[in-house]
Formats: sequence, structure tokens, C-alpha cells
Amino acid sequence: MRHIWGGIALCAMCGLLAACTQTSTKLAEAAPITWSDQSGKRVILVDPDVELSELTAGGMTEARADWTATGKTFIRDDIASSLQAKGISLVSMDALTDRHEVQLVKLHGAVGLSILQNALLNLPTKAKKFDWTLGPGVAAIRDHYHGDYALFVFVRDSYTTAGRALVMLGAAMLGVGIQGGQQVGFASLVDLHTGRIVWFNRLASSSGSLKEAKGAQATVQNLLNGIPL
Amino acid sequence: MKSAVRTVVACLVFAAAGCAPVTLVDAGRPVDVGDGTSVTPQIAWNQIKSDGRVIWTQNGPNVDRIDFVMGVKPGAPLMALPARSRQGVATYEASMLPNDIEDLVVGTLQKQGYANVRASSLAPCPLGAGQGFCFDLAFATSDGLEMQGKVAALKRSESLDMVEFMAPSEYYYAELSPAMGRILASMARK
Amino acid sequence: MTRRRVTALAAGLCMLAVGGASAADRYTMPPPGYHPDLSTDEAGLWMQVDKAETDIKNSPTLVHDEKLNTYVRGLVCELAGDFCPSIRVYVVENPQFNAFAMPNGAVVVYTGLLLQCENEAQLAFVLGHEITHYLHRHTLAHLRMMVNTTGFLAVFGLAAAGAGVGFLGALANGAGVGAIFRNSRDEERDADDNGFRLATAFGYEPAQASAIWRFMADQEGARPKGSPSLFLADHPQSKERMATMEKAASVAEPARNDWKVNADTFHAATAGFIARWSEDELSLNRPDESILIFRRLAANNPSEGLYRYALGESYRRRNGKTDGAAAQEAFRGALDCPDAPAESWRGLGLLAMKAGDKVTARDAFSHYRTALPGAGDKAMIDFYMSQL
Repeated sequence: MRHIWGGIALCAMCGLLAACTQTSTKLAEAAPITWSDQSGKRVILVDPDVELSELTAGGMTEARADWTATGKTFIRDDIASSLQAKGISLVSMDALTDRHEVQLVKLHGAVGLSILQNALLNLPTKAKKFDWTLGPGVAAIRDHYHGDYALFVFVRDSYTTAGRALVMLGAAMLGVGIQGGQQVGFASLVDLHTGRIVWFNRLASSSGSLKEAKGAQATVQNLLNGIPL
Repeated sequence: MKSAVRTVVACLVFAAAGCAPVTLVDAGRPVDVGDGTSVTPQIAWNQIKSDGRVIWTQNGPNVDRIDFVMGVKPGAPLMALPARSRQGVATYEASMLPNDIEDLVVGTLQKQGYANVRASSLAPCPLGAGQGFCFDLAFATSDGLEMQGKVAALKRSESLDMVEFMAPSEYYYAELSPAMGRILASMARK
Repeated sequence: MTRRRVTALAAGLCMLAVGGASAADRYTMPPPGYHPDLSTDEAGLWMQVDKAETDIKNSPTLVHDEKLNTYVRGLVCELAGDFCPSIRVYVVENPQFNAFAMPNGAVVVYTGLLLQCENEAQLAFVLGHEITHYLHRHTLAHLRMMVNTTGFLAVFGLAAAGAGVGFLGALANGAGVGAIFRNSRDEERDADDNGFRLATAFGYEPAQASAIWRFMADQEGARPKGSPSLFLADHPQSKERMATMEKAASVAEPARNDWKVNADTFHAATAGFIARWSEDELSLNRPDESILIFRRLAANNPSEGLYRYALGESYRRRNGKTDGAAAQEAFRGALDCPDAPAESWRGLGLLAMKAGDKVTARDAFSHYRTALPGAGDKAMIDFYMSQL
């Protein structure tokens, strides 16, 4: 079960960066991209955690199933074509049922939150290099889907519908807020041989839209900024 | 996880104040972990001081953590809890046997929001030069991430010293267990 | 689908319509197989709870036992009638007395509910209540009410801005964010009324409906002030509901003389889990409530030592002035039962050791070691014995 506080923290951490930067890319050192089979480069896409919502005049966020479905398709297709251009095929992971794979994805959630938190915590042992891992257990995903890397994507996109400026209600609690028409998210690339997170990118933007093709392309471009593939 | 958020909120406050709450603990040197007890880690750790308690972590407190809960006095709870969860929380009593403390830790973890908390393998074990007791933990975070833990505790006259280690069952618990073992073995009184 | 089931369900719905529950009239679930149009607020709601449902499916707390699941699902299906194919049932290991229905047709039953119910009839009334939340689309009604009421919505905004699916975790922890998916008191009353009709239509003894509220009211009394249980936080007060259900029962009672409670079927389905679920309850470390729960269960099942052992543990852990004696009595009673749980010996040993009665402690511990040679805490017990 996903914890609400984790979710809020995740968004808050993403949102914090809105004021200063659009994307913030971290790259692991000494982790060159290597393919076990040059002729069949494959990246596994873990079911993207995407949600589009509408901000009502009253200040309420209402999830939109139709926009989310569209946005998710755009994200998947645009990532696929972006990788395709580099001769890499994108393989979508099935709905998670295997207990070990579920745990690996949950571990990525916990480590990902730590990476986001670290923008503020600044753990001294992590100061010199970007060094995060899920451990070699990720081989289970590699063996199941036959790919060398796994790509994780998390995006929340909200749209102001009424003219009224949004009072973001989380602000009072966490001292930060997601403004109207805000897009926040992160993506990460995991080496399925070592478990290392070789690339991690945060995204926070007040432009870009996942509701239409062009905006989605821009979003995916931002999301994949600096990916070492 | 909730405590992780509390940490983040605390950090926001710290960040605003311009001082970092996290410090580096170097390897190979004795470090005071509270109430006159010190340990000597063999690898470097990140130390967070929160509510007067010391937490060490490698990858952030919502991934792995060692809580040093030193000098718990009778009538006090084992862990600092948010006010909302404090009601009806059992407290440490001087008459408690290791079995009772095991129950107390399990109840406290449930209160902290962890699910299906199970303790096992309660046994006497040395803690530094002292004779304490240890037990293992298995539980899940509220996100459903499976965790394992180890608790080592020692009763010192009226008060209790306790070290609680937890990490995801996937990779981290086994990876960090040796470091935790060495920390326990290095425990010393001033 | 038998004709009887359809009729029973229809009767339930009709009676409700006559009763004039306004929210329910407006939002009664369309026929089975319904999926909201993707552009609607309801689809957004479903999308979020679909994720929550996936999380439950993948949760380490999900109980996979096929027999138990078949039993609970069978009961839900009976009550839900035609809507059975639209409903998924999940048994989740959580010691809280709780069950809930999601707007997309997922019904979650906590093992704490199964531990504390005394028979199938009681469980049927709770399930009928939850199924009504689904059938009457209470969450949707609640969502729309909230959209129309500004100012009260901070909680929802936060939740939706977050992962959107964390409310279950929040609910499990009693966090306020669970409020989004809570129902109003009117909706709770509607669910009570209709749940009552559903369960009695299938012949479940009307008096059992109020029994649940009687022991919940007792537990409320035992709880420290200001900390209502999860189940009660969003439900009308137990005493009020108990009275309402008693009244309904006195009206319904004369309708037939073959009411069923199905205590045996219920016990057969849950017997194998009592030891584990009792441990779960004890692990909450709320001995006042545990004592009430196990006292009731031990009294109802005098030949089952497990309940007596758990009662003894509750007293031992509370450790009040007279609790030692009460614990001792419960442990001894447990050992007189056919199942004689060996842990009772450990309980007796710990009590005696604390009381300074070395002879009794040594005797009890050695019984424990003999009865349970592979006990996880064997090394600790050996250590205790070496100190005695």
C-alpha cells in the first residue's frame, strides 16, 4: 500500500524545485552504459506512475481518468520513439504480480524518495558522488524481460480550470505548494546487472501539457533530459 | 515513513534556518550516541539528531536506519511519536523482562504505522561489554515494502539502552547487517 | 444466480426506495458490468481506487488462503446477488475491526473483523453494510458533496496531489487523510439500514446486527478518551446504531422462525487462523481492548484454549494490580483445554519469575521447553532458567 505521506512528500520534493530549475539531472559515476547484446538493446519500462488532474474553482484536485489515459499513452509512445531513434527498443513491463518484482519496484519507490529528500537532507556520505542502488536482486527483472536497463517514471500533472488562482492546500502543511497548472515528476534508469541507479532526473515545470501530443513531447524531452543512453 | 516525512519537515525548517541537521560520522572513531554510551563504526554514517535521539543512516531514514534509544527511563515511551499517536502508548517499566520489551517494541512499531510486525529469535546477546538481549523483526511499511530489523537492548539499573536497526528485506538488510553487528560489538560506556 | 437472491436484493433496494434515503436514490449503481464514462468525475475516482486496489493485491498483508477467501467471497456474493461479478473481495491481515468497500467494487475485509465476529450472521451484517456503500455509490455522492462545499476540501486536494492511492495506508494508520473516502453519517445510516435488509433477506438472525454494536460500544468504553477506533470514527456512535438495529430487529424478528447465525460454518472457516490473528491483536499493545475482546471470545468458546491464552497474555501485558492473578487463571484455563497452547506455560513462567516465585517459574518454563522444543525464544528461556 502506498503511503499518502510518501506521495505528498514526493510531490512536495518535486515541487520545491519549481521555483529554481526545470530539471535536475544526476548521473552515477563510473557507470558506463553497456549492452549485453549490441544488436538487441532493450530498456524495460516499469508501468509509469502518471496522474493528470483538474483543479476546480473551489481548489479541489479531481483526478481525470480520460486525461490520464491519454497522457500515459503519450508518455509511453514518446519515450519509445525517443529511444528508438537511438536504436533501443522499449519493452513495457506487465502488470506486477510477482512478489519479488513488486518488492523491487517498492524499493525503488523508497530509494527514489530518498534521492528527492536528499536535495534537502544532503547526506554527507552521498555528497561526493551520486551513489544509489537497488542491489543485484534486480536481475529478476532482467531475466524476466531480457533487458539491460529499467526505466521508472513518475508524473503528476494538474490543470487549473477556473480563472481563480489556486490556493494549494498542501502549502500550509509542508511549507511548499504546487502551483496552478503544475507538472512535477521524476524518472530514473536502473542498471539491471548491478542494481545501480545510473541516472535520475527531477522535473518541475509550470508549462508543458500531457493532454496533447506536442506538449507531451516536450514533457518527455524534459523528463529524459541527460539520460545517458 | 511518517517519521521520514517528519524528518523532511524538520529539514525544511532547518534549511530555512540555514543549518544542516545531518552530520557525518567518520569510521574508526568512537562516537557518543547518547547517555554516556559510545560506539565505533567501521564505515562512515550519516547522523540525524531528532527529538534528542540519534539516528544513523546510509541511504536516508526511510530506507535504512539505526536508532540509538539510550537511557530510557521508566514511564517513558521507546520512541518519539507524533502527538496524535501518543495516546495509550505503552511505556517502558523497570520490571520488564526481555519478553516484555520485545512486546513493547512490536507495539511501538505498529503505532508508528508499520504493518504485520513480528518479532522472533529472542535470545541473550552481548552488547559491548554488557550482557543484553537481541531479537529479530519482520514487518512491512505502510507502502508494502517488506522490512527486516534487529533490536539489541541492555538494561542498566533502572534505565534501558536500545539499538534498533531496520532496512528493506530486499538487498539492504543483509548488506548492512555486518556493519550493524560491528557497531553493537563496539559499544562502550564512558 | 438463484431467483431467491435476485428477489432478496430487489426487496432490499425497493424497501430502501420506500424508506426514501435521498442520497441512495440518486446514486444507485447502474446494472452489473457498469463502468463510468472516462470523462466523468466518477471515472477519476475509480482510477484512483483502481491503483489502491492494485496496491492491496500486491501487499504483503494480503491473505492468500484459498479456503478463507472462498468463504468470505461466497458470503459477499450471496448478499450482492447480481452484482457479485462486479465485486472483488480482499482479506487483509490487519488486527483492526474494519471492512470497507471502494467505489469500483473492491471490498476489503480486515482479519481483525473476522477474529472479533462471533458468527456468520454478524459478518453478514457488516458485509451487507459495506456492499451498500458500493451499490449506493456513497463515495461518489460524498465526492460531489465535497466539490460543492469549498473550504472543507484541503484533505482531498492533498491526497490527489500526492500519489492518490495512499489513503488506505493512511486509513490503516488512522491518519486524517482517510477522510476523503469516508462516508457521511447519513450514508452510514443508509448502509446500516440496507445492510440489515440484505442480511435478513437471507435469513440471518436480526438480533445479530445489534450484537456487533454492543461489543463495539463496550470497547469504546475501554478505550482512552479521544481515540475512537477506525471503524467508529466515520460511523454514527455505536450506542445509537445498536439501538436502531435493536428496533429494526424487533420489527423483523416475527417474520420467520428459522433465522440462522451459522456459528459452526464461521468457526470452521476461521479456526486455522485464530492463533495468528490473536497475535496480531496482541501486537497492537492495547491490553484494555484486547481483554474485552478475548474475554468475550473465551466465554463464547469455552473449550478453545487459544482465546484463553490470548486473554491471559492481555492481562499479563497490562500488568495492573490484579492482572497477574487474572492472567494466571486464564493461562491455567487454556492449559485445561484440548488444544492447550504451550505458550501458556511461558506466560505462567514469566508471571512467576516477576513475582519472585522461582520454583513455579522453573516448573512452568520447563513445561514450555518440553511442549515447544523449537520455540523461537528458547535461548532466552534457557537464560531465565539459569538465573532462577
